[in-house]
Amino acid sequence: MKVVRALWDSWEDGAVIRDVDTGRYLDRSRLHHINFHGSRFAVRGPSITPRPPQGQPVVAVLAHGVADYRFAAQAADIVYVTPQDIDDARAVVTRLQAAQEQVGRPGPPLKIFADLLVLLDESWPAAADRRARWDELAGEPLTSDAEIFVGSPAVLAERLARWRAVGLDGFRLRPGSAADDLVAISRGLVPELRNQGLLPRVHEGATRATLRERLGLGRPANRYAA
Amino acid sequence: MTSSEPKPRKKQVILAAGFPHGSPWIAWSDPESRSQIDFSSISYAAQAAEAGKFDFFMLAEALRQREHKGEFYDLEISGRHHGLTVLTALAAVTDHIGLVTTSSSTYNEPYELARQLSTLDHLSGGRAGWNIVTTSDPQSGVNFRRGGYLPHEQRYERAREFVAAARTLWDSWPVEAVVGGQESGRFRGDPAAGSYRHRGGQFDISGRFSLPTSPQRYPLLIQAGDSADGRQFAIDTVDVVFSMYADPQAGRAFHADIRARAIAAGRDPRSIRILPGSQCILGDSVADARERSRVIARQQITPQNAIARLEQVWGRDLSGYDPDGPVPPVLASDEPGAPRYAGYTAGGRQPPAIAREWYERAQRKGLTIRELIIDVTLRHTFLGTPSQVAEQIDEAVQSDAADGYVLTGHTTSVGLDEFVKTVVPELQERGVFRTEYTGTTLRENLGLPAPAGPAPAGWEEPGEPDRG
Ligand SMILES: Cc1cc2nc3c(=O)[nH]c(=O)nc-3n(C[C@H](O)[C@H](O)[C@H](O)COP(=O)(O)O)c2cc1C
Repeated sequence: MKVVRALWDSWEDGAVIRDVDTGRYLDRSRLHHINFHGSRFAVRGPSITPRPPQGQPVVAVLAHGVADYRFAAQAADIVYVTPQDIDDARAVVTRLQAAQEQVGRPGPPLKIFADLLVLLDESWPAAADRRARWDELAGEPLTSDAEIFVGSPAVLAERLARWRAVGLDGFRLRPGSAADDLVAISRGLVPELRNQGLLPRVHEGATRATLRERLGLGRPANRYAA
Repeated sequence: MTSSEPKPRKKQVILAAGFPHGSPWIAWSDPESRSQIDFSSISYAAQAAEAGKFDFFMLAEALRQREHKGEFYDLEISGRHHGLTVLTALAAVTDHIGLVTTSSSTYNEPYELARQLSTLDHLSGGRAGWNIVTTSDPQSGVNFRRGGYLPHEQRYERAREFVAAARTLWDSWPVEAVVGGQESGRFRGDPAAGSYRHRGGQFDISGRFSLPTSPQRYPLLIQAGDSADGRQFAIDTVDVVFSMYADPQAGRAFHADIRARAIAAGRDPRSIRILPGSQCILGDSVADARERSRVIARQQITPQNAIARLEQVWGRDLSGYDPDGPVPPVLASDEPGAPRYAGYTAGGRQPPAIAREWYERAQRKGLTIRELIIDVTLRHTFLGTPSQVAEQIDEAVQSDAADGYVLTGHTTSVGLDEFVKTVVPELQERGVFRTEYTGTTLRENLGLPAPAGPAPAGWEEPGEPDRG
């Protein structure tokens, strides 16, 4: 990640000048060798691609334990975690805060997203029924590293609201099936969350917002800029 | 192509649109020239080529920001995307045109590249192509873990094995392996689908390939590289050769060489298409086109650029020379310059030999430094009115100077608009260029047979009992 992030910065914004008088397309003082030498990579750089619109694209890491938390604190913008219940969620948030302090994380704090595998239906029995059918088909019970939620969009919305209150920034929902659960998320869950004020009615700002802007991450300064 | 169609009387012209983002072929100072990074200008160019019924849209590749005399080279357009990623996005905004990436066999790995190409072929409905290059810039290694660089013969050895490994991967799913039936409850009809093993001097890989056979089975394979090794590799491996011999006379000599090599190797020479890279300059008359060519050439090769390119070949500082003055002699002390990159020079030749050749050329033709660089770098092959250019292209193709051309405009995005509007109808009028796409896949549009692939173990002929 150190190499990748350095490469994203290796062209400063505004490196392309198209100066017809001097025949210069680039301002070469705004391109930088990264000269990275590590135990696994040696990369001189710069990148061949100019700095992207977000400066640094959003980096996310799925983390299951303390070592992962430390890596996420050093390298990522978003960390996906897999708490099993609300107490666990609280504990994970505390551990992630500690990891960020430990590594002396620069820049904005990690955005913490909890992963949930969701099977949604009008009612709990209908959703539970589907899970049972899947278990039977597969010949073994459905398992996941993330908590499995089975029930209605309304109940899920309440659960998300409670979990959020302990310090989570967001959620990554893994739909059990694209055909049923993805549709249930957009048609059932999203309106519920809007009603509870947990999702903006319409995306604030323009439809053109970058992902970083949407996440409130801001555009990072370039390490090479004078 | 449907075989019931009457055979065209004349050999058909193949046209491809190049979108180079880093060459002197683009006059970036022209106010019409757009960004080579914004997706809107790339999609504009691809859609324009598709409106002109071009066979394919092609992206070049570079893996390193170029340097000159210890500094970043700032005189030419530079900065470019990862080609396959751009083409995958273009697949969504085009319907017919082929999408060809240039990707190095030296700095990629077969599994990764084969997968990306397969994805492109799937998402585009069979329009993927791969221009295989071995990367002539020895400095690119500084950006790769493996570092270093392979000697010339080993680069082609790796390229051969790379393609063989990629084919093994593309063949790893029997065509009918995806069942996906509700009743069967199985997704793969053959549980071993995707299993592969490739073992050779360059690669020893095995595992499961993650994608089913794509519409073309193999992307269209193209080769660009001019050495004897490169040409032999082309004969043994690819469907299309991307050459630098745009001049019809040189083109015929190249065509004859490829033909002789194909026959010697037992390959039908008609199964190989040769497409030189070229530029057309249009005007109201020949004289007008000549004048436009002169102006454009001077935008493409600026005075600063002319000196820098000469320095790259001479290998010494020439900043004191007048670009509009005579070409300096080659001194015994002249060192082979840093990376040669004044165009793609014939394989194996070293800068001192090139310098002597260029010097003699300048003497013979009485060229200044800038005129020499224009002469050796640019390929304004076809000049004239639209109907004259169409005639020149038709004649060149009928006389086997080429099977068609990879054309690049001199301005980014909009550079081929005039050609599409004025020359394409002339070519269609002459009956040598399609008026509609007739095939679905890129291979079909080029009139190439679908690759048969090996008969995989467990292959079942169509019509066998249902596998339910
Ligand atoms: C017409 C043409 C286009 C080429 N385009 C590229 C390119 O886009 N990227 C690249 O790395 N090399 C490109 N090459 C260079 C070849 O990859 C090859 O590395 C080089 O020509 C050296 O091989 P050779 O010794 O066989 O000529 C091109 C070569 C030719 C002739």
